[in-house]
Amino acid sequence: MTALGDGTPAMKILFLSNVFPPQVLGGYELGCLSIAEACRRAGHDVTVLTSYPAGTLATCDVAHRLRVLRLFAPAHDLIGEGWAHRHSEARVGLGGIVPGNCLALDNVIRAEKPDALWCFNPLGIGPVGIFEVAALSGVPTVVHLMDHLDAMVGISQNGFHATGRWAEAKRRLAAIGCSQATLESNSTIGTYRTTAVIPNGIPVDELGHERRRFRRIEAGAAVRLVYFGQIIPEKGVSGLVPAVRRLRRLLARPVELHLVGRCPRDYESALRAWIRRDGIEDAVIWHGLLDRAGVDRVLAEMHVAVLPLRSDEPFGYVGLEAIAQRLPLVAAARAGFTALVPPGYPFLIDDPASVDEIVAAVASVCRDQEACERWVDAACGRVLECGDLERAVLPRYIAFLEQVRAEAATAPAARGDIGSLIASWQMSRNLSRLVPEAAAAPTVAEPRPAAWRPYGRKLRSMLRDAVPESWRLQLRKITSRARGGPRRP
Amino acid sequence: MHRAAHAIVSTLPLDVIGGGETFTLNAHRAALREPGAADLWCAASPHTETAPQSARLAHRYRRLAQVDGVRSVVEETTFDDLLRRLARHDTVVIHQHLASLATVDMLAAATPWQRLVLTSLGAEGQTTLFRQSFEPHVGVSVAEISRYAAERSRRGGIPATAVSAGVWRCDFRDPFPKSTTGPLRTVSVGRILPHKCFEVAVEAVGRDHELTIVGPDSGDADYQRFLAARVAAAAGNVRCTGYVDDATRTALVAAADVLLANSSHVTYAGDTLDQAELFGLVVLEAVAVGTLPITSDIPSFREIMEDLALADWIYPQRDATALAALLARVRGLPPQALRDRVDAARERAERLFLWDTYWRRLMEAAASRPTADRIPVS
Repeated sequence: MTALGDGTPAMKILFLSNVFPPQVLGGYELGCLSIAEACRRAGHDVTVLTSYPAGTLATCDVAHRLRVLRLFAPAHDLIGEGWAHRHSEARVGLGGIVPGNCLALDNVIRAEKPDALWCFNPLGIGPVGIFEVAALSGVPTVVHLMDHLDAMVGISQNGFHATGRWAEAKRRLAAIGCSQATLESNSTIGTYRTTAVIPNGIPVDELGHERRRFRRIEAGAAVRLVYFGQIIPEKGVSGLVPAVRRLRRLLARPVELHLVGRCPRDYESALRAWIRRDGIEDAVIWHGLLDRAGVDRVLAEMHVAVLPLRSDEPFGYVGLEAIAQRLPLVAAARAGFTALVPPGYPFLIDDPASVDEIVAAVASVCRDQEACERWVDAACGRVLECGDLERAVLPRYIAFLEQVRAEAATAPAARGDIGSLIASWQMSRNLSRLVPEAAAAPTVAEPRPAAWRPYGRKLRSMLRDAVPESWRLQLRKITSRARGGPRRP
Repeated sequence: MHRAAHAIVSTLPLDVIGGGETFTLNAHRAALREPGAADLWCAASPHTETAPQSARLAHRYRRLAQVDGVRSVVEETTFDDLLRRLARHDTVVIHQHLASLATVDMLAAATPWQRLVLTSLGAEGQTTLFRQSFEPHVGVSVAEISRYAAERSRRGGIPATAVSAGVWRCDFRDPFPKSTTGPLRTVSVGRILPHKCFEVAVEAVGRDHELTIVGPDSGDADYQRFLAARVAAAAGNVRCTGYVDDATRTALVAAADVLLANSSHVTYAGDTLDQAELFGLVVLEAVAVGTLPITSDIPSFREIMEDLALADWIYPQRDATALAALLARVRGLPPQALRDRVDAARERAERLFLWDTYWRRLMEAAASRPTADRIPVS
C-alpha cells in the first residue's frame, strides 16, 4: 500500500452502486460518482462495480476517469429464468438475492483483493445477497446510506423471507448515514455494526462561479424563483403553482417560476393543467434537463431557490448546491442537508406540502433583503467550509474507512461460504417450482405482529410516505422489461 | 435483546408426548447443559400440509422453557416473526423436519453463517417435497436419531449421520428385585397406536404371565376397540393404565421383569408401514432401571439391541409364539445371569446413548460431517 501526499495510505477501494452514470436515477449514483472521483483524485485506486445498462433509465453524461465494471444483472433480466412465477423479479431485486450477482461480486472481490468495499445503493440487484457476500468476504465494508433501504427491503418480502438474513448481514457491516434521520430509518430491520453520520459534500470546485454573489431583487422587477432537480410530486413541486399565484398577489409584483430538470410525462401534463387553471402560464418557464453549466447559468439569474423536497428527504444535494451558489433557499427543514445550514436559518419550512409556509418563507426573503443576504452569506460560508467534498468531507470518510479497517483487522475470520448463501436461497425457489400454489402469497398477507412489516392501511401509508411514488417510478424503470437501450431525455 | 446461541424448532406441537416429542424435549435439556443458551420453539398446532406460504407465515409458534422438568410457554408469535428471529442463532436444530414445508422456509431464511441440523423424528408427511426442494451445502447437515434412520435418509438421496441418545446418567438406578418364580411381570409402553402391536404381547403372555400396557389413547378408535376386546378376552392378567406421568411410567417399567416392545411394519389390520419406529427410547429407559427389554425384529430395535449386546432377545415381528418362547426362556434363566445381562447392557447404554453428551456429539457431527460441499447450479 503506497502512501499519499499527506502520509495516509492509499487504498484500493471497490465502489458498488446499482446504477452508475451515464445511467441516472437521482442523487444516489451521482453522489457515488462524485465521492469515487474524489477518492481517485486523492490517490486511491478506485473501481466502480455496477449493473449493465438496462430498462428505460435516463442518461446524464458526466466526465470522469474511473474504472467501471458493469457486471451485475438488473432484476429485469431474471424474467424467463424461472423466477417470475413466484419470485417477482422486482421483489427479488429489491429485497432478496440474485445468485448471479452474488457470484459476480464474490469473484471480483477475490480477483481485486480490495482494501475496502464502499457500497452505495444495492436495491435492484438483490441487496440481501450483496450484503451477505460483502460480509462473507471479510473485506472491510461501508454501506453509504442515502435512502431508506430497510423500508424497501421490508415491503419487498413476498414469496420469500429474507429480512432475518438482511439484519444479520447488516450486523457485520459498517454504515455512513448522510443524516441522522437516514441512519435511523435504516435501523428498522437490524442495525449496522459501526456507524457514523457524515453529511454529504459537494464538489465545490466544480460548481459554476457565476452565481457566487447575492443577487438582490431589483425594484419593480420580477421575482425569479427556481426549482431544480427531479420535477416530481414527492419533491413538493405541486405546491409551487398555487404558491406563485398567491405570491403575485401578496407581493404585488411579477413572480416567475423556473423549472429545471426532468419531469415524467404524466406529471408534466398535470402540472401544465394546474398552471393553466391558475392563470400563471406566463410565469412558469420550463428549462428541461440541463447540464452542469446550463444549471449554473440559470441559477445565476435567480433570486430564490424553492426546493420543498420530501418531508423525509435523506439528503437533498440540490439544497447544498443552491446555498453554495449564494441563493436564498426555501426548503424542508427535515431534509438531511440542513445539518450543514447555520442554526436559525429562517427560510426552512416544517411542512414541505404547505403552500402557506412556502409563501411566507419566500415573502420573508423578498421583504428583508438585507437580513436575507446576511443569512445567505453565513450559509454559503458554512457549506463551503463544511460541505466541501474534497477538503472537508472526504477526509472524514477516509478516517471512518480506516477505523472500519482497523476493526476488521482484529475481528475473527468470517465463517460461512457463498455456497450456503446460494443453496439456502435456492431451496425456496425449488419449492415454488414444485408447489406454486403453496408458495404463492397475496401481496398483503395475514396481519403481522412486527412493526416494520406493515400491512393494510399502514402499508399504504408507508408506500405513500416512506417510499414515495418517485422511488416506485424509478424502480419500475430499473426493472422495466422494455429494452432497446438507454433512453436519453 | 434475547439472543441464545442455539435454537431447537419442532414443526409439530409438543403438547402430546410421545417418543418424538420426548426426544425434542431431552435434546433441549441437553443443549441447556452446554455453553450458550438454547431456545426451544414448537408449532402451536400442526401445519396444514399444503398451506400456502402466507398461511405458513401466519402459523403460531411457541417458545417453551424447561425448568426442573417442568415446561411452560414463555411466549407465542407467528412463524413469520420466528423466521426473522432464527437468523440470530448460531445453530438452529429443526426437529420433525419432514413434517412440514416450514422446514424449507427455515432453511431458505438461514444466513450463510449459521449451522443447521435436521432431525426427523417419525412424522414424514412432506418427505417427497422436502427431498425435491433440498439443496445440500456445508451449513446444513442431517443428523438422524439412529443408524437406521440415517440410512433411510441416504436412500432418499440426502446424506445423514446418526447421533443417538435415550437416557440421562441420572436416570440409571438400582434395579428393583425381579420375580424368580411364577408369572413374569411384563410391561409394554407407548401410545395406543396400531404399529405398537400391543395385541402381540397380549397373545404372547397368554395365561402364563402378567402384562401392563402403559400409554395414552391415540385417537385411533378402531385400534383402541380392537385392543380393548383382546384385553377383555384375556384371563384378567392384562391391564391398561391409560396415561400416567413420567415418574409413574418409570416406576411401572422398573417394577416389571421384562419390557416388551412389539412394534411392527404390519398392523393388526394388515396395513403395512414404511417405518414403524426410528428409534427405541423405551428400550433404553428399561435398561436404565434394570429391566430386560425384549423387542420385535424391526431395524431400529435391532440396532439398539445389538448395541446393548441383547440381540438374542429379539423375536420376529408379530410372532407371538416366538415372543412367548422368549418369555419362557427368561423364566428359565438363573436370576443372577439375567441381572448380569442387564448390567452389561446398562454399561453399554451409558457409553453410547447418554443425553448428557448428546449436544456435544451432535455439534461435532454437524461440524465434521457436512452433507455436501458443492454449490448447486440450476
